Amino acid sequence: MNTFKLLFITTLHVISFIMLITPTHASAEENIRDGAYLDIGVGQTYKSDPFKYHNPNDRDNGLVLGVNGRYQKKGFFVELRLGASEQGKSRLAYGYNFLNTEHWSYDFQIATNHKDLEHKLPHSNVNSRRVSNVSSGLRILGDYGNTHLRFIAAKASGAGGLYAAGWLSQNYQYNNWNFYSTAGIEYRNEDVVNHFYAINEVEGLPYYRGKAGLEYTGQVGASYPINEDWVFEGFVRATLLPSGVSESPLVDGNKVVEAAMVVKYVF
Amino acid sequence: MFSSFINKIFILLTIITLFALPNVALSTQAEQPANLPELKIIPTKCVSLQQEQVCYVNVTVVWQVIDIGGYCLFSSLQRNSLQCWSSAKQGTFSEEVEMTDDLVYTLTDKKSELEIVSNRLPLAWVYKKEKFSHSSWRLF
Repeated sequence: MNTFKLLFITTLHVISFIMLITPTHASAEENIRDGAYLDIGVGQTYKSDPFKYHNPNDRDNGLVLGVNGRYQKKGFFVELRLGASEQGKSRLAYGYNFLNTEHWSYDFQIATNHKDLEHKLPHSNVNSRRVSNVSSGLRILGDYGNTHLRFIAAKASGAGGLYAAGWLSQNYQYNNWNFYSTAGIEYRNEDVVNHFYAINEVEGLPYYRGKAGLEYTGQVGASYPINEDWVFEGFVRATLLPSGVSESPLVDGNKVVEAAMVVKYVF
Repeated sequence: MFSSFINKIFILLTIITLFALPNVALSTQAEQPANLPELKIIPTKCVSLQQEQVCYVNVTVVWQVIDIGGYCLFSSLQRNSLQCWSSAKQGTFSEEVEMTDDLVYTLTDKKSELEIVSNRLPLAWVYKKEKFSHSSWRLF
């Protein structure tokens, strides 16, 4: 077992222990993150397709309906992100918010950390579906006013899949426009990379196994309040894929560019 | 034959009603006396994205009174008058405002400095200010 794996599993065990001993304190006081949030929007999205044999029915471009919701009670939460508002890798997440300090919030969460992929392989014409499994992990949110941080360490798809990510975001206001810039780094070990991007010889493509790697993302965006209920949002995001992904016979190129303009109703 | 006649009458009455209703509404409006003095603020509220953010707005204040005279316009943002008028019974004033709270505009009599009419421009927002707000997760 390598050092990273050992450190990772130890961290998860420590978190599990903290979870076991904290509910007594958490239930005694009101959890500051308890509450509900929901927005529904419609927007135009564009995403460059890095996949050679992407199932054409798996649409990423065009008019998309988006839903972004969260409900938390006594620390237990459920989150849903679909469509245009889906800027994270997780569509459905649930878990327990077990600790909040002045600037940091800690969640035990069960979520996916990669999108499902579907490839129509050449020659064999096989529909190769790579399902992203829900996995447990730790999520830490940092809030310093206009600066937001997010860290995730979690199990992931693949036999011994591990995922870790760190994001830093800065908000700016100009008149009633709100702008932000975000930078993120995501790590996936070999098992995750190969769960989604490996090729067996029987699939009509050269045998492929990728290595672990880091994925870098930069994003800029803006929001404008149309009125108390409606918000306009737009963003552009660029992602640099790790070589373990970009060298897969399923993948064409090492960059993904996404953009969206959304009008959403906030409940 | 008879039912066809009834149908025609019904259609005619419907058309007359449709045309007559707006006229009734208009004549009702026209007959209403102007509710003076009045002070209108355009827009009706200033909306920022998040609670506690500064809200920026171009405000136009339109006032109208019954008697011609001298009047001054004040806002809750400053002690001095924004503008004064002489021998007037209506006026318009525009400004760019940075709001952190509701804003009140007041029209006063220039001589007596007594309030004639006032109105409020409320401050509103989409997202309540919360630590670790889910709305901020659009970032990720």
